[in-house]
Amino acid sequence: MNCSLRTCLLITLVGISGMTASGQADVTKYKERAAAVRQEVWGWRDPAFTNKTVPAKFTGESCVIMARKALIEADSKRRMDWALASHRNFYYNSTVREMVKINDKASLEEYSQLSYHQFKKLNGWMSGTTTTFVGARIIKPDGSVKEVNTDETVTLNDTKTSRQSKLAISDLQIGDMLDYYVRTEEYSQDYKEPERLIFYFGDDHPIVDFALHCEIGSKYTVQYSSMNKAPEAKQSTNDDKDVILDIGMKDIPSAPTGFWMSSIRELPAFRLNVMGGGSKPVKDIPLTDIFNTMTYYIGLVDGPAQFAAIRSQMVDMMRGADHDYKKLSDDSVARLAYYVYRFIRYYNKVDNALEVGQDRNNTDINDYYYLVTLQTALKHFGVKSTFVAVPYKHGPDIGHIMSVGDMLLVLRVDVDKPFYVANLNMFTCPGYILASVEGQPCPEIHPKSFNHGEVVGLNVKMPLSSAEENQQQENLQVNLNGADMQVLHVKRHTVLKGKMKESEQLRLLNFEDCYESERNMLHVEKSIMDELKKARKSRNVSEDYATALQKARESLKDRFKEEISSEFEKDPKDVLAWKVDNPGLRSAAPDLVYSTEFTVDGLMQRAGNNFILNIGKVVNSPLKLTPSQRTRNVDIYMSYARTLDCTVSFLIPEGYTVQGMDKLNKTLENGCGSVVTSAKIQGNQLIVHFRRQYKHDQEPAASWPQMLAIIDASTDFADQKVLLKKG
Amino acid sequence: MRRPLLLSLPLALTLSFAGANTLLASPYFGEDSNIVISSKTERYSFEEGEKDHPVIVREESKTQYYCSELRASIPWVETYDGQSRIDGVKVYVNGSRDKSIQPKDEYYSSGDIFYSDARVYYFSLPFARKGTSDEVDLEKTTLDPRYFTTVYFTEEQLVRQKTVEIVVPKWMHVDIKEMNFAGYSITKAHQNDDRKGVDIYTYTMSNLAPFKTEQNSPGPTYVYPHLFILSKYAEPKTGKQQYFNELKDQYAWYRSLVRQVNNDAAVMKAKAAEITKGLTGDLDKVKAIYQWVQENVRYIAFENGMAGFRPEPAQDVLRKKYGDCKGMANLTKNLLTGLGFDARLCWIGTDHIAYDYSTPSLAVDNHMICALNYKGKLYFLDATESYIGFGQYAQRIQGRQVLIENGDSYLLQRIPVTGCEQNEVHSQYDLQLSGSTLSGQVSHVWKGENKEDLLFQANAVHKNKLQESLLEFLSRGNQNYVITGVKQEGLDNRNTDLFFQYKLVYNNAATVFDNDIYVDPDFRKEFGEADIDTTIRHKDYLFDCKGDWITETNIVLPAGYKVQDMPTGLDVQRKGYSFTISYKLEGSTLKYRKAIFIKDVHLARSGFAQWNTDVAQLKKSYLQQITLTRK
Repeated sequence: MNCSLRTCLLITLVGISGMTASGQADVTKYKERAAAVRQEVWGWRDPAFTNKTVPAKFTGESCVIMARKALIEADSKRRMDWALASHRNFYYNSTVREMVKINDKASLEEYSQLSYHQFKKLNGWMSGTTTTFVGARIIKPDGSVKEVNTDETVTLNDTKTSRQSKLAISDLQIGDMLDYYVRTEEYSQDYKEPERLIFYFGDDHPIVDFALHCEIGSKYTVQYSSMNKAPEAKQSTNDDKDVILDIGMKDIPSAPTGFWMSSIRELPAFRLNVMGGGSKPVKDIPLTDIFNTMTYYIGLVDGPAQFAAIRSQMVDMMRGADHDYKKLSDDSVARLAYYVYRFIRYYNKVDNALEVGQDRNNTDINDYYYLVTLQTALKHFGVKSTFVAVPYKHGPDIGHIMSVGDMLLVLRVDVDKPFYVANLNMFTCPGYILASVEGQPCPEIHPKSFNHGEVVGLNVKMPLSSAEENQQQENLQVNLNGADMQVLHVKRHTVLKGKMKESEQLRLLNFEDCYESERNMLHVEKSIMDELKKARKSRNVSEDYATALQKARESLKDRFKEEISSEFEKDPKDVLAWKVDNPGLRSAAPDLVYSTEFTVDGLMQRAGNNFILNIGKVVNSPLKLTPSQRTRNVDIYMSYARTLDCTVSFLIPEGYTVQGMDKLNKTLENGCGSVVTSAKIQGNQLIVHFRRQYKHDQEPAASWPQMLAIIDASTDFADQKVLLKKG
Repeated sequence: MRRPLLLSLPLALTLSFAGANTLLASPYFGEDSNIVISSKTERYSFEEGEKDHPVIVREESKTQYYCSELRASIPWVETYDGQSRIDGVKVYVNGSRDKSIQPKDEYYSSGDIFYSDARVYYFSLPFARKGTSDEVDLEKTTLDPRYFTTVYFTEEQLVRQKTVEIVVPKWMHVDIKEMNFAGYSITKAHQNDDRKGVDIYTYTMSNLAPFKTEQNSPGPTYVYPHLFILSKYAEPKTGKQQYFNELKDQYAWYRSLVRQVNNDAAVMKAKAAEITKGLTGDLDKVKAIYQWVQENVRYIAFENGMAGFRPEPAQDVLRKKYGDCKGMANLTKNLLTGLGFDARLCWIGTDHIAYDYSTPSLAVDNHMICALNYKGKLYFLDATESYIGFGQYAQRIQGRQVLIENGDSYLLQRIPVTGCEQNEVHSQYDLQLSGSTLSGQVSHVWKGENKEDLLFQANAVHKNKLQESLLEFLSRGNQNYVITGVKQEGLDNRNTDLFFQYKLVYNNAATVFDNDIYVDPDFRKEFGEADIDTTIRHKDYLFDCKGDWITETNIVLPAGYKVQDMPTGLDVQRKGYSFTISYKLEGSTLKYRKAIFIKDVHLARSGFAQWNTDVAQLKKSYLQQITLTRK
């Protein structure tokens, strides 16, 4: 995600944790400090902010960022409190100053106001505050400079813990330059929340001069890395032994398209971590350091204790599912244990809100908590497993990992044919590889033996799915809806294989049905409802629970309607029926299969006694590219390779024949994929087949013309029509 | 797109902050009836206050909620501002007082308003399970009867039973108007209590459906049952208090606020001269001033107590280059007077408000514009309409009463009502057919508010993407619709129509099967999907503006072809709208003409069925093709 630095910083400001101080506004002190900051920032002797000449190559742009400078200063001091206890106070200041040339109304609106937290107190156990100062001045085309009066700031919210403010930039007009800054001063006691920053050398608008300067005190730890051909930071120290980092770039064009794009893999970027600690600065954090932290987090979970709480329940369920489970193969034991564990964690519970609708499908359980306990459970049942850490396909690559959050924790079950277990959601099957990490290196994490500093298995990769494995299979039976020849009646059968099912499971599956399905598969005798009814205290809750389940079921029609609308880019006239035939919860039956029945109009046109059926739109609604998107010079990042395979059987009305099928027989194949279409008459049915495949999840920029050919072939097919001729 | 205005809605309806966002997603009959109001009593008493607020209105209410289906929690919200205060809130959860529920008291913020002094008092009210009841008791005071303008009966939840009492002392002179009672079972009782010296008006009602937000709806003053309170004057012991007995009283109060504003005439004169340098014609100068304010002053809505009624000094708005409607009107007026024109401030209620100045009240207006009196004719300039031309008026103010300053007196006029031709959209296609390709010349003209809308969208696009966006708009994203040689006029000039002309090559526009060609002559199909879902829509529908959409497509037939089938056309004529489609063959040219008129923006709910039937016919017409066959 490539947000402008201003936006990123302002968003960060909202989330920044500060240090102790009273959260109450002290207006006088604030104004004094604001004046001092203003003097300091306007006093910068930085030639970038005196350059008023827009480079010729950037004329015609809506807005040009003439200069952007980020300054990070971090220091700390030890002090005694009233009880003579020693504390370390951390001070962290960040300043972002920008000078932008406003060339149109859209940019004027974009830069016309600043929203920020003047004060924000830290949450929770940490004590500290964040204070933000803003300043702005306008440079008119004639060179005159007008300071914006920040006293015109209005307060949006003023509580004990924060004050939220907004400033409308006065006297800003098209043709002006706006020079503004946002300074955040953070103070925290005893602990510094890590700062994890990323600076992209690329924005929605071109940047003439971008520089970052850091002065980080010796009681901090600094880690940094340049990516994607960003310049390297110059590191030095000053007399105070602060770590000084400088990095900059000039004449940065606007970021290319956001379509099928990964900013963090494509744009030059600089990543910076600043935290308490006092270790030496680290350029390009070794993977071993990250693994050490992951190991620590794994240890924090205390798998044995977590498993102990559910052990007897798991054992009972394993026995209930298969009395002789101990005689099963390791693979079967592992899968059964996984299903039981998933059922306990995700299904067999009632939350306070009685959430059983679509929101329940999005239940999130911490990966470490989930998988560490699962590993302990597998161990109890005699199955070995190993943790692996996998970078995200559209995140930093394995060579630029800077934090634990850059990697996904996955469990590899070490049976004869090892399989992976990840914690995507309540529908995830054992062996399912998440689209977000497939094909990526998956080195092992060995908690006990890690101090050797060796990363094992770096050359092993998560399996990468093929286009055949990720299929959307559509089978549509289409006929006219009674006497009205312009309304189509559609019976649709959909099979989503592989990665294709991920988002639709979240949308279409009903918790109650999945719960009952799993309960049935695991032979769990008593349901949640039975338990609620049995216990006297919860008897009333059982009535509420029943109502909640009913409401969730009633919401399914709208969810299916939404699915149909998104697939056909057209609202159905009526949704007549919907059903999930297979939810895809089990690796033995992993596909999501569902059926819908609906009517739709607008696809059949009348021409005298004849009709023209836009058969192409029945089959597929293709991607629409803007003219500028047709030119591309950055690599293409898609979620996964995939195939759409659609068969439409149209019942030809009596007394009509079909013309124009010849145009439907086409084949396009190239290195990136294919579009193959055909049509034939079979009895009284017109059978149209459409198959589009994107062979790979990623393509180099040079392949864009081939990708365009596939998109254009799909668009061309969507326009195809057949004639239903009377007589 | 509508510009946000200074609203005088009941504040409870306008909330959209984080703690109570769900408030606006109100349930309606059958949609979500989990939490209902089983009973509510509200009592409003006019009372003598203290020195700064000699007459106050005290509100006491008890609301009992019932959980009818399953456990839940609802946001409870009350707003107040500089003219009111919340004196106390007591919360009872399932019969017991719950002091652990501590309301939050924060500023109110809404996307449309830059800053408001309104505050919200809110908390989450929990219901442990089905069958539980909670109660919230509120005490609130309005400090000036002028600000006590409406009492809505409808709530955010379904109301089973409600009683509203208005207690009016004999010394308080108030008119209570009953609004939108028809169709509701509301009974009224009047008690004259001589002993206490009060009149008590009691309204009892049952089974009131909750508020519901629907797009393009009339404002709540048109729809929901409520009392419109008109405080005229009071004679408490401390002495007479004059409120709005007549319109002249309201005008006098407004004028007193406006007279407090110190506008710098010298600055205005100099700026006006600069803007109009080189222009000689009077109306050219007026247009230049108007366009300058529209172009250079950003609209930002401020609602701040008394300042919510007093315009900002013109020179401040000029300096800041932003302002609300009052500031922009004041700046426009003072720039014009700086040139010697007779320009005046005007107060106006937009079509969002059901009332007019026949009932003087702060609730009747929500906007300020400028009037120019030139050679005996009044022109109205609303600079918040960023892209409208001089002499054109937005739908929301057309026909509305406008209160114009006139020294110590006032003028009451109406904004002219224009016909739908003010907002015409005209598309002309002169094409030849060759195979499946149509090619030729196309021109589009947008006028009035339809033009304004397009200009607004065009100016919201970064200029380096504008050409692409315009082409995308003209082609509707259709790659087969290839445009070259674009000429345009009016993107930079509010006072001319917006005009596009270009060469078109429309590939695959027609479908060829053997000896036949099938042609669809309408590429934009306006209102083809405009049917209304009557299962979910309960309120009347307001179109954004009147207008007419005319499409004329002339297609020269290819040599060797004749027309085999031509659709029959369409002629739907209704009082508020019409759809006509015609096909003609003149020589070898096919002429298609479509005209859609929206003459009345208000489509009553009673007209939905007819509207849907007519739109279905229009859609059917759009799905008809012309058949050509080889001779």
